[in-house]
Parts: sequence; structure tokens; C-alpha cells
Amino acid sequence: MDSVNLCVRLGVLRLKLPIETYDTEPPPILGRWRNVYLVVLAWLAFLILLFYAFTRYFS
Amino acid sequence: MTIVDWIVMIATIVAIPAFGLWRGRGAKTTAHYLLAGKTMPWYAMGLSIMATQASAITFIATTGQAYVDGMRFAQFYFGLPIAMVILAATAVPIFHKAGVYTAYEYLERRFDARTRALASIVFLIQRGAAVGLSLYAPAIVMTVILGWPDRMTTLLIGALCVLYTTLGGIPAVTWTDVGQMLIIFAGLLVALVTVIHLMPHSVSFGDAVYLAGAVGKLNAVDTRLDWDNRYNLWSGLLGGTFLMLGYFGCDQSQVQRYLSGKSVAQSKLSLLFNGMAKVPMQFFILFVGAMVFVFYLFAQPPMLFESTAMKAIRNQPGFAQVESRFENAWSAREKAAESLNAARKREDDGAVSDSVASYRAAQHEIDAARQAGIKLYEKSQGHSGFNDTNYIFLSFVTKYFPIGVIGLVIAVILNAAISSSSGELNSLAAVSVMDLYRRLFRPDETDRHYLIASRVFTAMWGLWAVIFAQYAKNLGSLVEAVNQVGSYFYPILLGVFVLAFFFPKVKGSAAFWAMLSGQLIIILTSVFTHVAFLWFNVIGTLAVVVTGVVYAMLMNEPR
Repeated sequence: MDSVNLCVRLGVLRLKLPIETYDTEPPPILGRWRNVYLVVLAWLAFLILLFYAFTRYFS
Repeated sequence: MTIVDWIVMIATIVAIPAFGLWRGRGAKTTAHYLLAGKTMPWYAMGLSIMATQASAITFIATTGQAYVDGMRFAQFYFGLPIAMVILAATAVPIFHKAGVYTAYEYLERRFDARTRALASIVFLIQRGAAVGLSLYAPAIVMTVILGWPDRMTTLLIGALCVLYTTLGGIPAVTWTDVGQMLIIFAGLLVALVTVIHLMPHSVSFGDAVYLAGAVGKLNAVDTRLDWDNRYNLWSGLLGGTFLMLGYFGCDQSQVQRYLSGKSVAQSKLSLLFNGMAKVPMQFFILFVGAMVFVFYLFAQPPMLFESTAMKAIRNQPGFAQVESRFENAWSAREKAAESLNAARKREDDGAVSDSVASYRAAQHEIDAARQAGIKLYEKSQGHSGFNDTNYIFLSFVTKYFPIGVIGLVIAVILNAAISSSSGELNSLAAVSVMDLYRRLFRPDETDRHYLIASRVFTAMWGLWAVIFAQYAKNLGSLVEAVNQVGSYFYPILLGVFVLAFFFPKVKGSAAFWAMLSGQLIIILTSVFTHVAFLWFNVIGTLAVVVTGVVYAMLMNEPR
């Protein structure tokens, strides 16, 4: 299972990040959900860089 | 508008909901009416999510904003893809596994009934106000085009919206959204091509982009960290992420879309699709507005784009001087723009530098002349706060666009209003029935009873929206406040869901009091500081989480 279950102890409280603990269905492309998320974030980074270059070039 | 525009507009507005009703027919159970029986594919949910978020104001105001203020508003959406990834990894599988009708139903399972009720009421207040404004926006369109009274417009659009939402439920809403979103994409593309086509022959596309950029209209990214600056890279990435997490993760009008997915994977894909498509779409809309600005370099714009305001100041003392100043400023700017364009083509760097300075000075002067016109109008009306940004794009479309295209663009704007309102109505009904009516008043009725109740609540919220929209014009500056209202309420909802997902030792009482404490902190921040509203999302969410953790430690509630 593509699963990351990160636990951090904060005194009496436990911070639990239930990433990918509930589903086992894989994405239709790229094999793992983590890869799909990385593509979305890479797309955002690309857009910001593109818009930044656009702003700088035309200002 | 010509008869052709009318045919295009009416055919589009009526045919798409009819298609939605046909495609989504057969809602015989509450689960089908409110969740489409969990049968929706990712592309339908993804387009529906985008359509629900894109109101008429998105197209009217965003283009106008680019004309006046440039493209910096694009940064507002930078947090959206991040939020989509976080929600796809957390909220979507959790909600699906819980098998809930609404996001707030999950809060009762995790905390208690009063936390669920409080979150539901917060949602109903926030979304109930917003749905009235969503219906009011088309009134601006019809007032400009036809001079129709806004009350008639809100009644007509509201009736159409309520009819298909009440009859078809979420299946009809989602499939209608799909058709409307496709029309919106097509309409935007046609609008951009038309704007560029209308430019003088001496101005190429590259020239137009250069001229917009030279006066700062293409300022899509601002890297300076300024807490008072509403839109910069950092407020967009951080504040925007929190706002979008609140909106897409805790607002039932969005959660309901991806709860209708046929699987967890399909729901995740719908959000991730939205995450990839939304930022370019907003950039595109803003770019259309920037091109409208360039068009008006070579065709004199009205000093005020709201025609009724222009009429109101014509007889005011001082109008002739202000009008003369504006016309002279426009002539100077046109000459400066032409000189700059010619210098660029000659590749004369010295002349380009001089022309840029003249062009910017002329732009500064025309801005000042327009402000003088606005002040004249405000003086004549006895109040400040006049803003005609919403009228810029419409004024341009109706005056310069060719036959048929006007009808298409107006249809795009009205479709956006209908799609966002219908999604809101459906979600308001779902929360009213499932989180309050069934939970608190009639818990043991049949499924058919709740199906009828869902339809009745949809109609009632529709009636409320129409009534609210009738008086929206009189709200004045409150309209702007309501537009920002999400930043006052979403952090509270987001904070309590963060506690629910990630802090298993925080229980009901701590969560409930944390929500109230967070709301108080946001109000105090709003009243006593000048922090831009996007930051409320960060402050409010952190306030709920921190107070929730502290209360949990102090209360030590049993498991």
C-alpha cells in the first residue's frame, strides 16, 4: 500500500497525519498517488516561474 | 443586442440546464438526490467544482480588475493546487470512508452533536449570504445591456436555477455545470480572440502585450512580502492555501461535489484536475482584461464605465473641466503608446526609453483624471466607495463585440451565475436537511420524507436567495464585506477539521470552544489591525488549532 503515516508526539497530544491510510485504489496514471501529487505541485512551481518571468520581461 | 444575440443567449441558458436535467434524471432517493448515488466520474466532478467556484463576478470583476489594477490577482489562486493535493491525500479518503452526506456529519462522529451543529450553522450563515450575491451579479449584466430592472433579472435567473436544482438535485446540477463550464471555456477563448482582432492593424499581439506590461498591467507575480498588500506571492501561497483548504475541504458546496464520486480515486482526480486547471484559467481571464486595457489605448473609453454614473455627473459643476482633462490625458496616452510602438519597431533604444517615460506619465494622468470623475460622482451622491470595475468588461463587450459573440459572452456570465447558485442551493439544502432537520427534529422518517424535505429546502433557499438579491444593491459597501466573508468563517471550519483529522486526543468540548475562540480572535484581528483579509485564514486556523490543543490539555476529556 502506498502509505505514509507520520506520527509526532506533542506532550499529551499526538499529531497524526493519516496520509493515504484509507484508500488502496491506485491512480490511473503514474503508479502511485505521491507521483500524481508531485506532478500537480511541479505544475504550480512551473506556472509561478512562468508568470514571474512574464512579469519581469514585460515590466 | 440583436435577435441573433438573443437566440444564442437564451438557447444556451435554457438548453444546458435541460441537458443537465435529462442527464441527471431519476433521483428517486435521498442518496441519489444529494450525492448522485456516488456514481460521478472525475471529469464531471472536476468541471462542476470549477463551475461552482466561478460565479458571474469572476468574469465581470476579474477582467475589470486587470484593467484597473493589473494581473496581480492571479496570485490569489497560487495556494489552490497545494490545497487540492492536501485534500486529496486527507479529506477525500476520510470523508468517503465515513460514508457521510455532509462534511459536518463527520464532525459529530469525531466530536459531538453541538460541534456539528455549530459548523453547520456557520456554513449556512456564510453560504446563505453568498448565494444571494451570486444571483444578484447577473442583474448588473442585464442593467448594462437592456436597462432591465435588477429585480426582474434576479427573479428570472433565480426561478430557472431553483427549478432545475429542485427537480434534479445534484446529478442535474453537476451535469449542467459540465455543459456550462465548457461554454465558459469556449466563450473566454472567443473573447480573447475578438479583443485582439479589434486592435488597430498597426498593433500586433506582441505589441499589445508589451504596451500592457509597460504600465504594470502584467504584474502577475509580486515577490515582496508586505502584510498590508492584499495580493503577493506569499499571501497567495500561504493565505491562499488556507483559504482554499477551508473552501474546498469544509464548505459543503464543494465537499458535496467530490462526495458524489464513484470511488475515492475519482474524487481525488476531480480535485487534482481543478488544481491544475484553475490557475491558468484565472490568468487567462485576467489577461483578457489586460488586453481590454490595450484596446482602450486606441479607442477612447468612457471616463466612468457605469452609464448611469456618467449621466449623473454631466450636470455637476466642474464636469466640463474634468471631462476635458480626461480627454486630453487619453489623447496624450494614445500618442505616447503609438510613439512607443513605433520606436520599438525601429529598435531605437533611446526613443523607446523616452516613450516609455511619456507613456507612463500619460497613464498616471489619465488615472488621476478618472479619479477626479469618480470623486465628482461621489460628491453628487453624497457617499464614497464608488467602484465601476464590474462594468468595464460588459461596457466593452456590448459596444464593440460582433453580433452573436455578445450573446455568447453574456451567456457565459449568466451561466456562471446559474451554476454557482445551483451548487450553493443544493449544498444549503443538504446541510439543512441532514445536519439540522433530520438530526435535531425528525430523526426517524422514511427516505422518501427526506427526499421531499431536500426538495422543499432547496426551494426555500432559492426563495431566500431571490429575496436577498432584491436588496443586494442597497447593501453598498456590505457587498464587498460579504465577498470577503469566507475569510472570516472558513478558518473556523478548517481549524476544527484539522483538529478532527490530525489531533485524535482533542475531543468535543475542546473543539467546540476552540471554534468560538477562533472566531473571536478573527473578529479582534479584523477590528484592531490592518492585516489583509487573506491572512485571516492563517491566523484563524492556527487560533482554532492552538486553542483546541490547549483546551484539550486543560479539560482532559475522556475518550
